[in-house]
Amino acid sequence: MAATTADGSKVVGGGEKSNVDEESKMITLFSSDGERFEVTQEAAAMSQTIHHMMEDGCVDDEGVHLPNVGSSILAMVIEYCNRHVASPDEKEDIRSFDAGFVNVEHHTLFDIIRAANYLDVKELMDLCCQTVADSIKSKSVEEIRELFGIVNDFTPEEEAEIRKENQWAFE
Amino acid sequence: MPPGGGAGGGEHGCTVPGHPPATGRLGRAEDAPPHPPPPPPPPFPATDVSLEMKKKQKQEDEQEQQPLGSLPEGPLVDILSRVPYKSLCRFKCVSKPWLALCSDPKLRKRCPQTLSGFFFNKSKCGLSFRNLSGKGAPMVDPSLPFLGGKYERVEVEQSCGGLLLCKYWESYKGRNKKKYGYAVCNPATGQWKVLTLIVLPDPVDGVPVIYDDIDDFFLAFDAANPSRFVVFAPLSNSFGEFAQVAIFSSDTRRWTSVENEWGYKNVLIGKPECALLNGTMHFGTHYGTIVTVDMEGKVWREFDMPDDTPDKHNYTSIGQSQGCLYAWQIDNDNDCKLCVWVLQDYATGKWTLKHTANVSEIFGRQLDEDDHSYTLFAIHPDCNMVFITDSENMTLSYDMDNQKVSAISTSRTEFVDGALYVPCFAEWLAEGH
Repeated sequence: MAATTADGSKVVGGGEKSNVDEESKMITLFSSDGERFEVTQEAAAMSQTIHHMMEDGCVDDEGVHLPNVGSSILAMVIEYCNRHVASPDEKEDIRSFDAGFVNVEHHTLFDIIRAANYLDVKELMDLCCQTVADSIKSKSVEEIRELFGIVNDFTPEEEAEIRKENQWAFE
Repeated sequence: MPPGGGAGGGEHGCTVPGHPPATGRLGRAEDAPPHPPPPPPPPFPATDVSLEMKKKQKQEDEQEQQPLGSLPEGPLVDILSRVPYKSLCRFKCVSKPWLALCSDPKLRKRCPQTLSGFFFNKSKCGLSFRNLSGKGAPMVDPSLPFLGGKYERVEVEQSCGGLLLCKYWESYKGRNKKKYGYAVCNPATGQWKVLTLIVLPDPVDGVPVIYDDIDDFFLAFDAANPSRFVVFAPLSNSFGEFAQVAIFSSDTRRWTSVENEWGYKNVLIGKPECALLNGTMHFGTHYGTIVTVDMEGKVWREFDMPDDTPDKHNYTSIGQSQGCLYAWQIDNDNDCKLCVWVLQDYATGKWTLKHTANVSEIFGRQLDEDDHSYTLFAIHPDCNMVFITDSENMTLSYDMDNQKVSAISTSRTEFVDGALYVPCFAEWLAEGH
């Protein structure tokens, strides 16, 4: 639910700009590609990084620059935080939201993990890491290499040795 | 940690978060300028500082990208700690950095474990191990190399939660063959604790009594609370009756005794007819009942075995699967019928008949020609699968959900005493802790 305000910035998640009501006070986040996102303090606080900055009184009117998070991923992370802050008690709804949220291509999931790691959003990390773990547990060694973009640095003899030691795991 | 104090400084600093560090916990960029005191603060943050950090970030990213792949180490460790141990061992082949990661003992302790195979005793060589798949080199070395060849022979009596109750002989020849001891072993961590002789004050006059002819020990170990294990030893007379139960606890390293509150007449079937469920040890008795006691020896209960067993002359075996107590019996004398019950409602003690099957059929034999004596020696802790042996040359797994049969062993093996093994890499607290 993004609306565009007069100055062209996106307002994500609604909420009025009010300096009186602390809870709906907005905070501005800047993605690596310079896009502006307005988020409620509550949602932003799901990021421990941002939370600590807010607690220390370090976030001023300018906002927070996130040079490591691109706009499309930041939008997704904000969507997650908004959803979890909005109705934390509706377990069924949250569960189905989460399931839909992680139903993305693996490279997007990895991007979200990187962002969640950087922003220190524990719940999102747990969700994504568990999703990845569940999807890779049955994968072969070759599939893992492909998925993570890893070059095999074993010699054929070395790899055969390790395979032999752990033969039971390949059955 | 940078020292606190200074205007606007302190632990968190007033800086843009820096690169994600290797451990996955966010650090703070140490080279960004500290927030100067008001007034007036500079524009936050300076654009060129932001570019600097972007460059540094890219460098770090590339460095990190090479060894472990497209994710930094912190999240990767998080993911790997959630995959089953079997997958972790397979991923050791991915690359050298992954080999290091997957071999890390801390990771091994956290990752979920499941049934990996069975320990059993071979008449020729003693302790042996068979993988669950029935194939390949054993995933755990049954010669227990960490013992350094101290004992000539080791056998398994019972397993619980990743620990084994073992019988050992220093010398296995001639007259020395009669001299054996008992120990608790963790094959995954190499821990080995010999159970000392049971010496307890006589309940009447307090004089120390040595109980050196006790042969029924029952090991209780909960992998969810791995700091200690407990061994129960009913102090039975020759009829199997006991008024006291000796309890060994790994944290006190001593035997104590408690009064048997089940009633004198409850004779236990003996090892390994026991199952640990929710911190409570369950024992089968010869009287069609199950008696239970918690690991502290304080809460004593009793309830009935299923009463619709086809063979009234033989006992029913018990085991634990998916958080419930199971009971089973094979009517070898009549039609080799297998019955499996589950105690779905623990509070009422009401058994539900879960599955019946004909074991001859499972083994692909004709009922009227089949004079084998079958034993269902284990039930899979995580699914509806059971393991049956004909005690001669065939051991199978049988899936109760889809009736699928797989061979575990087709050579002459002694699986009747097969003890299922779910590795546990946590260590019980030993001397000095």
